[in-house]
Amino acid sequence: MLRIYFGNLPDEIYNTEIFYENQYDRNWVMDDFAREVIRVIDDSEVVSPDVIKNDIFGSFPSTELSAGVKTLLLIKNMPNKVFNISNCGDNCAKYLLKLAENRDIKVTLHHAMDFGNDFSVKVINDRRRKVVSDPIEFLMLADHYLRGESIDEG
Amino acid sequence: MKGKISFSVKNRHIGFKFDLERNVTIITGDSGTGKTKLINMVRQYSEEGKASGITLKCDKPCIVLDGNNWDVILERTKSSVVFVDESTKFLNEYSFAKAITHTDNYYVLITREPLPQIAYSIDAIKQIIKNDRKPRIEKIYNKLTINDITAAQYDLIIVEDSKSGFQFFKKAAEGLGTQCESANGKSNILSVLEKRSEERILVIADAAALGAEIQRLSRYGALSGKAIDFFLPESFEWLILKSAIFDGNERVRDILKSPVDHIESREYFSWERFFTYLLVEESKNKEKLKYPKGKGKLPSGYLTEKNIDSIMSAMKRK
Repeated sequence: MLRIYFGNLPDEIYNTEIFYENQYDRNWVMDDFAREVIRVIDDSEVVSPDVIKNDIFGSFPSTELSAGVKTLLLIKNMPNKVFNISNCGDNCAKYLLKLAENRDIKVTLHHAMDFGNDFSVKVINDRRRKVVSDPIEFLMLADHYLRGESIDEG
Repeated sequence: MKGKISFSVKNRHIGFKFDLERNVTIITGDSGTGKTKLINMVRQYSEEGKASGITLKCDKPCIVLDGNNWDVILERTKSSVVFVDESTKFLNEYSFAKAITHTDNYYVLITREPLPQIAYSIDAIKQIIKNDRKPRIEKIYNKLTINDITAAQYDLIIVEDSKSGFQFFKKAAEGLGTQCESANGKSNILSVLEKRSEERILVIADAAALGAEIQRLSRYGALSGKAIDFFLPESFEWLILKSAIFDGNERVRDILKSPVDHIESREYFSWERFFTYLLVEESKNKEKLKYPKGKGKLPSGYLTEKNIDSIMSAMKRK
């Protein structure tokens, strides 16, 4: 199950793009999951290890993929690290849930991601281990934990 | 800095074009739409100029702010368009919000985080829509507000404000036979909505500073099963200025036609504060309408039947 911590954690990898650039394996793009997310999210096709192509940019390496796809590939291949999934848009949500179907994956989240209406995740702030399946409950927890102090302009 | 700024950047493969109509613009949305591509093109052009192979058109210098010395760089940056990417650690920090207040720049922040420490308008939140080699950049919440709050019957009106705005809408709600409650601040609106059991609810808040809340509020509206409408003028003071009360005031009419040409971002980070200043200034010689700086007690002149009608219908005016 996806185990979500709202906010910053000391061991989180906040900037997943930099981490990807320095840690990626050129074969990560070759499996069925990678091919699907690259096709659906980035409108691109995998040609060979670390070679992707689309109609706009031609051929390019996987470091040019979107931040969302890179984050999904990192989570799939390095599941013990804590990645910031606010690098992912709502169009990545179903793939995050899929990656966490058969194992626990801990992530940080800094916004109210839309997981749709049919999901289950664990929110782990305040040492709670609460399974949340109701989108409104999830939204209210995001609102509670992501509150910040506003600037007084005066 | 003030005034609308047109921006475009392109290379052989792709081009982005949009206008900056306020000092803060947020670009958000799905993965794979080209946000990082946009930032990288601005970065490469700012480092290499035309030799980058990128064409960037903007009346102001454009930079991408990142790195550990961001505060030093920002201090040296004047009259520029400053881009910050979503993966930049300082973007959600209080120190960054503090540092950009009272600066002479416009900011384009690429992020999905709500950034509650920064006052920005719902009008400033945009997304990139894929469109082959010419992606479009569109406002997300431009159709959210209703303009006529008398067109429907509500069980409850929730007002963000606890001061003059609340006093006004509480009185106006009495006329409509509807109960009215203050949320005591924009960050409390969602929890008040969640606690209340009424079916038809109207939320009244200042669009000029509601940016950080609007994604969660509109999502709650879609999920809750309640009928929730949003009435979101720039600010309560803007609504008064736009009403018939100020019809004879040429300065006010001129400013309202194009606020961006009049509001100096270094002085007024949020337009909400500018419109308060303007109303205080323009009402100071008006009997029973002298608007208090601290917005404490609403003068009685605004609570006459005629002026309530004028203010309530101001959003419908062109």
